[in-house]
Amino acid sequence: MKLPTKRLSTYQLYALFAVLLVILVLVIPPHPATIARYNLTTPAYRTLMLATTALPSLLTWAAAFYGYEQLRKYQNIVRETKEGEAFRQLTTGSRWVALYLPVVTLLALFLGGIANAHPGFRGVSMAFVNYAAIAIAIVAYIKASAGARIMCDNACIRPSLLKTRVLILAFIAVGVFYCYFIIRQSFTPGGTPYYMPLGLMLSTVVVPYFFAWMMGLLAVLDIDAYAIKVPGVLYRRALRQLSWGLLVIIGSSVLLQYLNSANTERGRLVLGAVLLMRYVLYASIAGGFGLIGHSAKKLQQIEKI
Amino acid sequence: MAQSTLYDQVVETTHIYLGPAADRFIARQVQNHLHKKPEQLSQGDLEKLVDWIQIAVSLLTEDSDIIEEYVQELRKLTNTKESKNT
Repeated sequence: MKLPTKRLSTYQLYALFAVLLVILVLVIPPHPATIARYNLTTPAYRTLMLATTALPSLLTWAAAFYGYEQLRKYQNIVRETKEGEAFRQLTTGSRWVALYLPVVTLLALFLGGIANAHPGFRGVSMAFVNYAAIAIAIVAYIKASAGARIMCDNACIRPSLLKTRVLILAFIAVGVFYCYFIIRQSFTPGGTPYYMPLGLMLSTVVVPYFFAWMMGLLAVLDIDAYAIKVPGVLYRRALRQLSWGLLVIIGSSVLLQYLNSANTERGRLVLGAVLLMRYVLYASIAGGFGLIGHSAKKLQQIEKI
Repeated sequence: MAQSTLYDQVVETTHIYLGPAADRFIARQVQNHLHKKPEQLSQGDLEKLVDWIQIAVSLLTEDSDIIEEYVQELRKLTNTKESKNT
């Protein structure tokens, strides 16, 4: 007999992630080195984790799930139309970008908590979290870029040559600097980013990240071209915010992954400049999803009136 | 070559403002407000349709210039047909 299954709604999923986050922050063993470094008690550590990590995360996730939900609703309205497939892929991509935030944070907290109690587990925990993050980023950006490409193909639109060249230049600059940073880190005493040998790290972490980022940037390039060149003054206005939202999200996610790679030991209390940069990136990701939500609402209105 | 219907012309004008959503938008206005199938749209319905479109578009944007321009373009379809008839 087949049991009736009911999928969680977007906001139920958000609530589930939020509860899990709070529980994990309150129960996981604190990071011993961090406790010693900042001279904290365990309750103080947990309070700081709630204030500096959990609260900003919850706000960012809320914006992400809102943006995704609005895009999903719009995609539902246009699913039978010519743009349906493009928006389906784009919505799937944005769902994975939205899921990336809670899944990676919760995994890092959970496995980091185990590693805090059993230090021998640290390397395995780091590898698992990082590979999970890479896998989600690849799926998200492949889907987004597939949707964006279908959009452009349907309307016979191509991105401008100038913007393509600028994108390639920016990508090479970001990539080379990232490689330089990773290799330099690996030669400093005790500095083995990702807890793995350089060759393995370059081939299984850096190359897949580059691929994911390239997919993300291609998606932005195509959506931008579509939002500029597609006919329809009012349609374009609504779509432009969507393209900006995706641009901000993908750009900020890339930078966040960049920052997380630099500070690979996730799931523990971090203060100072790294925390400030994380806040800026979380805020811009939230803003990006806000733009997507607003844009998708406008597009829904065009299809409902 | 087949001559375009009035409905096609309205959609073509709307395409400038609503892009890929134009066809669906006009079909909805005709069905919901004129209670007709899109292909049954006639010259006599046009004025009423334009009024409904003006209301609908006012809900989508506050840019009165665009609304005015769009409505004028739609009204030209009425004028064209009238001048052809006379």
